Amino acid sequence: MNRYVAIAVAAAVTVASSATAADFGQRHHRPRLDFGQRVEELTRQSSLELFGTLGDLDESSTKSISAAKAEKNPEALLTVAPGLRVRVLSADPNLAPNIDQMFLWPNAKRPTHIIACNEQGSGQVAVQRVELKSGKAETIISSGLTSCDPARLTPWGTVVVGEESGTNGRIFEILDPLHTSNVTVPASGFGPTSDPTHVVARPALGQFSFEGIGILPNGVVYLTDENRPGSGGIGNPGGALVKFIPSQLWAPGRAPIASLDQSPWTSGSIFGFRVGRNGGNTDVGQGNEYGRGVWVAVTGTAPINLRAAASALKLTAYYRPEDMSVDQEALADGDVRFCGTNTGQDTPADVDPNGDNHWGEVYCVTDGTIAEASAISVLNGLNIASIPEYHPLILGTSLFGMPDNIDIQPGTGNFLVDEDGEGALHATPHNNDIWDCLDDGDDADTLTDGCIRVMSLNDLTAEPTGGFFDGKGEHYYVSIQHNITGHGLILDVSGWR
Amino acid sequence: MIPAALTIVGAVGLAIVHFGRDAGGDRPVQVAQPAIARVSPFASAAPAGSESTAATERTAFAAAGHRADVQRPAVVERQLESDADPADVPTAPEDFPTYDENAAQLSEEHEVPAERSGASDANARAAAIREIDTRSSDSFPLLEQTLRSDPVARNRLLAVSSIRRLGMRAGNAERAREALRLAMSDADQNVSTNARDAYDELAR
Repeated sequence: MNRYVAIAVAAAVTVASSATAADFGQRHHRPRLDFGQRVEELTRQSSLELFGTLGDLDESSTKSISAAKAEKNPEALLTVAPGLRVRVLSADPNLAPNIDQMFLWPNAKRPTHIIACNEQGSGQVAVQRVELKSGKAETIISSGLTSCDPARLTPWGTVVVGEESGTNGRIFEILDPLHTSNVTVPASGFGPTSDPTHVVARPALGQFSFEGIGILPNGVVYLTDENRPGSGGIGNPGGALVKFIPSQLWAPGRAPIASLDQSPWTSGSIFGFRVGRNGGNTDVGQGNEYGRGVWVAVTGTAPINLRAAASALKLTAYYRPEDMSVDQEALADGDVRFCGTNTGQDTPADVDPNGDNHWGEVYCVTDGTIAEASAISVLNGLNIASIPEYHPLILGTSLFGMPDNIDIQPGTGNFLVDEDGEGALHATPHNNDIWDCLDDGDDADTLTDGCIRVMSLNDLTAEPTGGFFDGKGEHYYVSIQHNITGHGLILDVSGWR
Repeated sequence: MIPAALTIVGAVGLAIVHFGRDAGGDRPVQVAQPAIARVSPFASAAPAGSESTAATERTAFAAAGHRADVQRPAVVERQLESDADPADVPTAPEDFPTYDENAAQLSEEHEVPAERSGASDANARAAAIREIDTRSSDSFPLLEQTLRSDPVARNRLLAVSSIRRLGMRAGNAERAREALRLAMSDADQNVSTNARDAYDELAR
């Protein structure tokens, strides 16, 4: 009981003091907040109710602690909002330095390990497992895989990882990741790995710079290409979104597969997302990036060069699409909705006069019911079984820019978004933050109802990556990628109320 | 007076909110909803065998060439046929763009990750420092040059970090300490503090 009273009083004091500044600023000779600022202030004041924290962080940290201090106290690399706690899950010297996307194994409810991608060159470690109890890191794929970024658990009990490696990018599938070690894969192409029983490439899913990956329980998967506009020539499109529908869907709830040959991802069909349905689906191109669209059949011999196909088929492109999270609440209702990030480009003008001030965005896509999203019904080269619809959820700002990893918190439906911004390049350098954002509510617009800053790094050389929640939404695991210590670090943040 | 009143009101209000949630045994759950009402292509069903169904075609577009003839996983049947109303179906013009995999050509720039293909100069310099060999004393000149002339504090921090690691290897400590000693007077407080901590480590 005392704990709750203390929380209530602490929050009330916060509210009262904030309200003094916000609503009664003139009385105390403080500048009056405009309406938008008052809305922001109200969001911050409501942090306990809306986000489950006892407050937020006023601003990004400008600190960059030394390697010696970080080695002694790795938690110090992250400042968190009042009420949240940080502990080190792993600072194993063997943990690779660029850990990116990761997930809990064998599931999110009773996990024993984290399986993680390491985003480095083909000569370095690519996939590791980390024991939750000890933090001990061991290597699953030791070399040959370039810039491992996306990593997910499949509904049939395998691990899927992808290369963020341009048109050379491949998807790999791993069986039994706790007993598979030090596998090497070919640096390019789809030849056999050193352990083809446990690690295989999946040519059916095509090739581009794999980043966002959203898997439905039946094996249908959405994939994004981390590509920037203008790559390879002025006017070239950015990254596209595609959907892969397996030839044979997985039956959710069945026992995990015992052989990689049994994976639904051995064959299937690919469809690309193209916005625009007006005029017989002809209002396609620059200027039409939001709203309803179509799935365009992508035909060819596996592995299809998806970036080339996206360009030829005029698929809708975005500025460096990054991570993606499937909305489990929507799935429970039988609908498909996933949300992802487009990171943009915000290099400040004092460093690069050609900086874009494009701070990126978080978007959400709906694709009908699970049955519709998984069906194939092709007419005139379009899969008309479902109607995809794209809308921005969060538009980046100079303070909240270049969103990268994203996860939806179980239980609240709030979004945790990791920045991979250029704050370190600003005149007053500041760190990357992690933001906690509300979903869109019942108001008229389709945008988030508000965000607060809940974490900030204390290492200007690092970025937070791969942040994701456990099954209950109580623990948020985040990698402090390429941090000052030179080795990997995964932190466990908890304390949401 | 007003803040005091707000304190009381806030405390009571938040206690109610919190206890109310606690009594429910769970946190308020925000139900995710599609942003805009979805229009289903199945809303106007055409009877089986109608024109729209007849027009439907289905192809395995990306069948892999290496499929083994093994027992297939448990699968569920998927709806394969369209019963969409033709009026609701976008009709592509005959000259709509197509993809010819034999004619597709992309520049070499598309073969590398986006971080590298379009990185700003400052980030390209940072990437070069991150990839430097911190076992070889040959790396000192680039790092010392960075400390002297790179306008981006983040890059100088990276140089300090690499020099620290270089200095931990036999025979490198003296040169590393000298570089760090100079960096201790860097105008940026983070750089100078990092250099001092590293210098102290190597001096032990």
